Amino acid sequence: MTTNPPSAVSVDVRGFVCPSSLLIALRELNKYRDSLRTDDFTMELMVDNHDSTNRICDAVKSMGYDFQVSDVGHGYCIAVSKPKILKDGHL
Amino acid sequence: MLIILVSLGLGLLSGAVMHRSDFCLAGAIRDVFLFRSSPLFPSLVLLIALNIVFIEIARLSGLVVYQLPSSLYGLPALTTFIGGIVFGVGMVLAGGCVVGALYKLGAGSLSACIAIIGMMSGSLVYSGLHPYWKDLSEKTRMSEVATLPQLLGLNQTVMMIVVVFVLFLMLFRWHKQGVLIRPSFVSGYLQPWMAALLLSFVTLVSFAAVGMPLGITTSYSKAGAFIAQLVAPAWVTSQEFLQHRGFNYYSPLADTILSAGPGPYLDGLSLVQFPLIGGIIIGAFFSSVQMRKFKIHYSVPKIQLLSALAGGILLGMASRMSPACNVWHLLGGIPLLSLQSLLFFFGLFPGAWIGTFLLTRFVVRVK
Repeated sequence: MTTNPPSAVSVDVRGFVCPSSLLIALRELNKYRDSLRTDDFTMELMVDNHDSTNRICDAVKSMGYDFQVSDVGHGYCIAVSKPKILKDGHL
Repeated sequence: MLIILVSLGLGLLSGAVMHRSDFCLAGAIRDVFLFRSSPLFPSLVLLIALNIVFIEIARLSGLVVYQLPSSLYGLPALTTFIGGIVFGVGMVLAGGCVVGALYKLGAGSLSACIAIIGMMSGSLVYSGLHPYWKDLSEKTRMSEVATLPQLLGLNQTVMMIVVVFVLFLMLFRWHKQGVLIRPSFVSGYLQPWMAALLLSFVTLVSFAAVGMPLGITTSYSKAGAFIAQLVAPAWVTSQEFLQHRGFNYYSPLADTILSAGPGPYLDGLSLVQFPLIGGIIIGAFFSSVQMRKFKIHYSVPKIQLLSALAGGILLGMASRMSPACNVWHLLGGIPLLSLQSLLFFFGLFPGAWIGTFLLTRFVVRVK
């Protein structure tokens, strides 16, 4: 029997000292880059600061992933996933 | 009373503006080394350029009266450069500068609170070093004039026009590259160029009405000294640094010369700085509540809190070594082309580089 890889990973950087939140978010995105190329995998980044949210989204966008920002509690949740149309060599 | 109200108003506006745009002066310089590109750096340059223009126009029209050297910006010494380096390390480790920590505290940051406690302690640590540092500062004095135009023997207005021209050329290039406007994915975000415009207005009002640029760090010494007096009054009395009242400035609102010092008493500086500090915290608090984002997060890794404390202590020490903070030098002194402020500014860069190395080595492992 094989275990399936996780379909979602959540990373919480709320309350972290600037710029640790951004550095950790980028590190985790890099760590899960193989999973992020598969379908049905979502990475949720929980962020409490609006500037970090902007910068993470900007970075995610330039990496070519799809993302969605939503207000969750007193912070933001950035859901990152494989782009619908995958361009070769973009990831 | 009017001084208190004006300072409080300036604080409230700055706090809300800095929170909305996350106008972090520490981040603007740190990211040059950390990410090899700094999204806020162009807006910082814009703020400095606008301050030069506004303050020089105000000076020529008689709205702002100043003559350097004065208590605001003294004569250049190498110790200010060293202070700049220590400040640079501190601001990276603390996750913000002395003002940044205030607006982050207003938004509910636990680490900013710890950094501020560090700053108060750092000011007291400096108090012990003060006699030696003062001596070193006098021995390493680099010039008998206070500003760049004075040093070069040039007309001040001509020099300002040249500097502003160069800065606007840089800004024009950034504008062409499209980096002045930041991408935003959340609502309520204030563009940093807009924040620069509003903060230059705050600086001008501060100069014209209060008689000095925005500054807050002497109040950290005062707050630290008030606490120290409760615990060890004899030590406070024995400290030359805490008993000295060497800061004098003309207050346009009071129409008189006010004197001040870093010790545990209320004076002409606490009249300005305490309401300003309160204003920044409250302004940021209301801004974050209005965005429905105010929340205190307690689950912060210990290493990060330790870094904030260490950074705060370095900031507290450096603010007295320099002998002022980055806001005082960058927003007030560089627009006057004070040599002290330029030395401090150039010290921030090697400091931020060292701070970035320490941060990525010991606090957050990037890989």
